[in-house]
Amino acid sequence: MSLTRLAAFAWREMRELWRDRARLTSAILVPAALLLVVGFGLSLDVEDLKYAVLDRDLTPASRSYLEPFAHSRYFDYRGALDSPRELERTLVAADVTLVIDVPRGFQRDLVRGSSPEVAFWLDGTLPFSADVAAGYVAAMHRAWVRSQRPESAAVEPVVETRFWYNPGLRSAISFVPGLVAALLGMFPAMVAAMGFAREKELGTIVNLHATPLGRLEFILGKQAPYAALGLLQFVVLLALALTVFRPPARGDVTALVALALLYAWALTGLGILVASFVGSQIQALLITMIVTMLPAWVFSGVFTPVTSMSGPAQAIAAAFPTTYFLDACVAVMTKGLGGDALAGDALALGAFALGFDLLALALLKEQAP
Amino acid sequence: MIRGLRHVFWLGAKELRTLSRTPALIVFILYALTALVYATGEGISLEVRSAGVGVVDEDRSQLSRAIVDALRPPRFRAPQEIPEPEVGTVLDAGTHTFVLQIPPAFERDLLQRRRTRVKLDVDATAVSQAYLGASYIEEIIGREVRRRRGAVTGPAPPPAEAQVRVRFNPNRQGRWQVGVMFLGFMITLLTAVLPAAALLREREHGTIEQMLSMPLHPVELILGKAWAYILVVLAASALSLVVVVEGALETPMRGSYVLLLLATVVYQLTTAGLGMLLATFARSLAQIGLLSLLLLCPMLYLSGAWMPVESMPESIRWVASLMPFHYYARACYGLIIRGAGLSAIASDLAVLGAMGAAALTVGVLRFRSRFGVPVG
Repeated sequence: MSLTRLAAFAWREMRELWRDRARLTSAILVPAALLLVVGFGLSLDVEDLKYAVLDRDLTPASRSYLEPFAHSRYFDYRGALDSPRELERTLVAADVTLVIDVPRGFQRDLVRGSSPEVAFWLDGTLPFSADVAAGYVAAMHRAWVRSQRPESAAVEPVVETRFWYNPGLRSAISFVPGLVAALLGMFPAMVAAMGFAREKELGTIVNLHATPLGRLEFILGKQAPYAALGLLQFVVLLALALTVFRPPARGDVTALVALALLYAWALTGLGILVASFVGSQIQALLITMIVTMLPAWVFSGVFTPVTSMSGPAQAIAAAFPTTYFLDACVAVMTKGLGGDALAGDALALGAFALGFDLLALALLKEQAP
Repeated sequence: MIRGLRHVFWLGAKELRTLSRTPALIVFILYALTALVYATGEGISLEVRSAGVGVVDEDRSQLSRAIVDALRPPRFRAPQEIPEPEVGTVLDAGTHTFVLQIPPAFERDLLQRRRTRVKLDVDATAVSQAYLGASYIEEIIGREVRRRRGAVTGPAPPPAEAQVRVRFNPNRQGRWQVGVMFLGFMITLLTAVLPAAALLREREHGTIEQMLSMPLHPVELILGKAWAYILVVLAASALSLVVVVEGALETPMRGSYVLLLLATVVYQLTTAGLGMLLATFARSLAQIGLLSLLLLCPMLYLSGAWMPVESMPESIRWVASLMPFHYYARACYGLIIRGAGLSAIASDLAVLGAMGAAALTVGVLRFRSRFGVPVG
């Protein structure tokens, strides 16, 4: 294997990529635009839950129980139901997520001390919403209990909760480091796969058999421009993340950039591997998309920690480079770590890069005339 | 009109033949709609699940043990005792999401009505789990304290009880929503990209000129290319609905299959229309790939199908109402999980229809100017 030959080939490939400005600009602008849109839009702070009221008691006590909900930013009052029949209908139609059902005799039972029961009907379609709503409801109810019995408040234990790495629980900080890794997870693979498949489709790949290039030089040279593009995409995303979203801590950013190169290399290797199987660009596009989209955007741990995924999902997560690079991004940008914390991720990414290249090499061997 | 329909039919048949010659693509379409839907349905949830908890219990009383015991699967993994100096290390390493520190004489002070405090450290990088998990732990502590106090000083009934009842999904199964949602999302991906890519490919190969020399109206060309893929994806999704969503993920199907079919076909037409519209803006397959990601990524994260619209900042919520997937997902949830009827989903279908018609119209107009169609 000759480094000069490799360098010459890689340079040629880079110049060709450089000539397609439209593709280059889209490749830089699209992930950047996505980081901005999704970074600002993503949050798990649930507010304005739509609710309706079925007040069967209609007494001052029931009204004063219900009042705090109307003033809370967590709930959005949508009206009163006239009859119990409407309860089912309104939940099925998803006009509201919650119906508060105050029983008849609420005030009477309250005065008598026989502990009336207020029912909260939640729409369980989105369990996350339901859980959060249940938590809010419990907190509102506890606040009401404390207002009824002020003497009991003094002796509740105080739970001092401290949220590490993200004290204000700002969702933007929470998601953005992971998003950088996730968003990057598809582009290098797709662009490399399509570039490679295009040559196969148009037949220009035959020209390369006439050159003195070895198989390894061919693969590495083909990858080089796309990996460089991937690194450039990362740098743009990193700059955006640090300036616009301002994560709290800065760990070893240089190490992260080095890891990003490994990550881009692994992804482009995957793209070329996929392209070796297929005969057309459409197939390369679709298959790479399907193979990379969910592992990069969902299984990598952007929202759900990998440790809390079950079975097949965890296996998919472990078998894809984004999971490890995401871990590194969070470690550096949110937790402010470096060095040792990144070693495991670096090893995994290196293994992926090597593995994909070796597989692509083996496949190329089989296809040589 | 009949001739137009015949054109559309034959164009689609040609697409189907091409598709049948690429088994790799068919395999991946099936994989995307079945195995991937299963993996996400089973594996992904926004709820607290198997969260790691570390405990520093300096009290070792009945109450502190009761609190630790209450932190159990499936929400939490069995709590682990960790020495106090290692709290920071454990959080940095990410092995535990929560660390609870109970001070000495906690139970005694509490029963003697003195002020007490408990420390809860949370790894907030585990976003969905951090807030929910912390609020569960607080509730659990409160509940155990009340129980212990009640056991010692006698029962004290609260002034009123709040009884939370979850409709449609009492066991709060995350699999139902996630399975339905990802099936819908894969339908979106495939229906948006396949016909558009097919169209662009003809352009790259130069065969589109051949097409345009035939007496074909652009509408016929667009519909002809699209229906083959719509049909294939629809068939595979029906299979997935029965085998994966209803079968493996045990989601009940409470509404009408006919309505679901109707909603899906309308949605697919809209999505294919949007994809084709994108194709008129792209100059190469690579660009279509990039542009479709620009659409698909926000659709996944910001349409309100996965994370509820109420969780988005108020100023961004309108973005969700721009996305067709928002309406389709809502209709699917209503039909499948809530057993809604036509009246409940009618407005969603209407919006989808309008979006599809608009996309098709603009697509046809752009098609004319892009490809210079001489036929009228």
